[in-house]
Amino acid sequence: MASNMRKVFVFLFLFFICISLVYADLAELGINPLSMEIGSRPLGMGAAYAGLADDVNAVLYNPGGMAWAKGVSLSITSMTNIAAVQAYPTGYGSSFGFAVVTNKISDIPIPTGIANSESSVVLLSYGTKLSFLPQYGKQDWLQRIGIGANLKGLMGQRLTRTGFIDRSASGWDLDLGFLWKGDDWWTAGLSMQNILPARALGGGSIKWDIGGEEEGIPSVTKIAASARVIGDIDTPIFMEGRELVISGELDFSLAKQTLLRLGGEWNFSKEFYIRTGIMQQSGGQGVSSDLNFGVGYLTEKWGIDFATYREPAMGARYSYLSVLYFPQDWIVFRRLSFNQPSMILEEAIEQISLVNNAVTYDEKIEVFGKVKPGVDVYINDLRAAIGSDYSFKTVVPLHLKKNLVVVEARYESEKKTWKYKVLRKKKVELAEEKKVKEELEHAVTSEDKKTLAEKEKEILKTKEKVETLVTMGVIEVSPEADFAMDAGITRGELATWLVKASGAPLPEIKENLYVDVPATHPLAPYIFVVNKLKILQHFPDGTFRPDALVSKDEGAIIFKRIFQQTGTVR
Amino acid sequence: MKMIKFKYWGSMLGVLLLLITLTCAAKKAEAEDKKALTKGEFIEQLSADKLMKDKIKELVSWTVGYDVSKVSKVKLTPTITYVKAIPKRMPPDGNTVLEIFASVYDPGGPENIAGVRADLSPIGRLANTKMIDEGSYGDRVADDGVFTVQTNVAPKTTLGPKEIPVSVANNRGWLARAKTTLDVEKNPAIIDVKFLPEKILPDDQTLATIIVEIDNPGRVEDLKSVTADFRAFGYTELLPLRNDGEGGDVVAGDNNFVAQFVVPSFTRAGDYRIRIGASNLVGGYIDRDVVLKVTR
Repeated sequence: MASNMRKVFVFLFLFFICISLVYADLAELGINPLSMEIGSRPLGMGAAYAGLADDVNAVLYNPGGMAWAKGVSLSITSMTNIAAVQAYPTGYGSSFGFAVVTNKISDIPIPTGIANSESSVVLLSYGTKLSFLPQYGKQDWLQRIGIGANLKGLMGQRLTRTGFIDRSASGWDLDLGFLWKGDDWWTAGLSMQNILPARALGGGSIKWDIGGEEEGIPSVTKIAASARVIGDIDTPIFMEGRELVISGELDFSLAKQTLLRLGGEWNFSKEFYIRTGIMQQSGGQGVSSDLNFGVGYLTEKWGIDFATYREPAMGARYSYLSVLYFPQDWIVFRRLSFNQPSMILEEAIEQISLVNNAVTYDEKIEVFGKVKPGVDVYINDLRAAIGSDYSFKTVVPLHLKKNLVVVEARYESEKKTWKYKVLRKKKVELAEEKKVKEELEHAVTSEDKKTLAEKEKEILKTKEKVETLVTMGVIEVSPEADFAMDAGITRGELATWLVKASGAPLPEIKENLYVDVPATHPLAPYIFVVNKLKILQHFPDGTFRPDALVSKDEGAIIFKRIFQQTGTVR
Repeated sequence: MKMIKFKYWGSMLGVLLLLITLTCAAKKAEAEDKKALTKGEFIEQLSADKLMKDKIKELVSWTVGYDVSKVSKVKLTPTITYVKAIPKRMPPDGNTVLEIFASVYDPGGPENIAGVRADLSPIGRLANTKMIDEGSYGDRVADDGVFTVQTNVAPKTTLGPKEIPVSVANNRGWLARAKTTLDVEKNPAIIDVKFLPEKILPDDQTLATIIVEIDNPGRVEDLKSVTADFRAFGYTELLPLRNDGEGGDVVAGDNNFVAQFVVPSFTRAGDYRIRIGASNLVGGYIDRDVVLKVTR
């Protein structure tokens, strides 16, 4: 059984990569008009794109990724090298694709002089998730597999060579692609380009007008994978606002040596991208490597990419510029008002109470809103109850300091995540603030009111500092009593607060430190640290006196020492 | 009189000295307080420190530190410990009582549970049916965390396995879901058939017993008849099996149906095929052939 399977696999492999025609005018020049490497983003990554295929360029590299593709791309190298690619979602987990590519390669050196090649290719594409399978369509794993196919027509191939008659050719072929999104952060892909055996169904070859020869179209099989190793919370390494995607593939072809492609894309500031990629191929003259670079700027609706890429036929380096557009509400069947509109997950949550970058004193935050019918809401990975009016209202506890509230809308097996940052600060009541407020209430003259208002303003400024330090855990405030700013600070308090502020580790105290600071004293570790750092010393009589007040003079000396150590300039 | 005065003078002097001492101490303390570094001054100084400034900057920064560890992992959702449907096989008769039980728990205590609901639409009933824990309408014990709903399967319900989702929401807006399955069937099932003794003598005397275990969708009481075909032994009619605790039946109303019979002496030794049939009130029917060994 296993042996049979192996035979079938070998047959299919050979079927897909074999070419049977010997005539090869274009192949001799290193030109394959139906293998198109276009698009600044893929090219910037060394065209290691079959395992990523997450945008409109999937049409050209792996139609398996078409299920998730959307948008329009226009790529240009010169006025004779233009590619327009489009992916149009159906609203049912699939997309139609369309591409027109014109390509001109001039001054290719040949023994009799030079050769020029001009080609125009039209490409029709369709890709879908396996969710169309009726019985298993809603299985999560099937929603993660995309398959697609391209029908490629070489509308016109013109070849001029010194010492030869100019000729034209046409032909067509097929591509097949698979993309498996194994997890939210990695994908694996298989792209088989030009799979038709020569002359099969009238395709699989290029037919020349003069002489009538047919030239085989070299097929290429790409085995690829990609991973978002740095990125959002669903990636192995979380980094806010940063993303690193790496991709790699092996391109097998009987016409050429196996080609290794490796690429990377670093996204910073959410909108800016830097890309690089390497292509390595062993040949008669050893291993050749090409390094590519690219940059990009992408917003939600449009983007622009630039890449420098070494063109294989000429070996010359070209610059590519691509402009992209991503229409938000762009779905075939929705526009045609079919009776089963698909969910646009970006709009799945109609209203939500959360705002990003919120500051609160509360221990919890109410998260409420409204969703579209059929949408489930998960907050911090917990499912919210949805009412009959499609509203939800939950209470999320908050840690002190930074909180990330992750809201996820799920519809069937699709999901969209939003993150909200919330800073929870500790609230502090100042005794002085209370006093000033009381005085302000009883103030009669406008001058008094003005003076007190100024005073209140000053107190609020200080209050903010106190709250920040309390939030950071540097100083502690009794919940029963208001914090008095004009109260003297004790040596024990000063030791504790300074050590907490520094973040220094606390040692285990096994022996009594001073006459009045036994090992069991709650402040013993802090006192040990400040003494060791020579910030606060004991008294000549062998006591530390943790409850004694620190004088202004002592304070000045202590802070002078601290500022010197931390490099603070006042 | 003078003596008394002198005595008072002494006391007054003592009090005066004490007052002076206290006043001096207070003045000294006040003076010391004025010299003391206040908490407000300390905070101002500390906040001006470069190290602290950096830490404060990091605290209030919206671009640093918001990672996975900042997502609250507190368990807030209720839990459904189990959901079960009794009986597991139900006829679509709109009559037989189906009970669904859901045991729920909430980290905020039972009072935090806002409601437990079952989606009975797969069996032709309401999609959002409330389950109760009040000790009535089929609920055994009030406030024990086991919520119950009594229903039945609508007559037009298609046959086959049905999933009944149950959801529980708490007062803080969190939801948990679980489900149970039940089979909507018309036909009873013959689980087991036994002959006692296994090999029977054809002597007109030895009393043999046939025990048939039946699983009827819904209630066993709704079985119309259970019969065994002994016509090969000269019986003129199908032999009815009983479940009334008599005629060899040990327990009335259980799933075991029993009949006693003798094999006539003219019967040859060999294997005889006996057909067991069972029908119920909803028009369901099942039969099964079993082999009875007759030996001499």
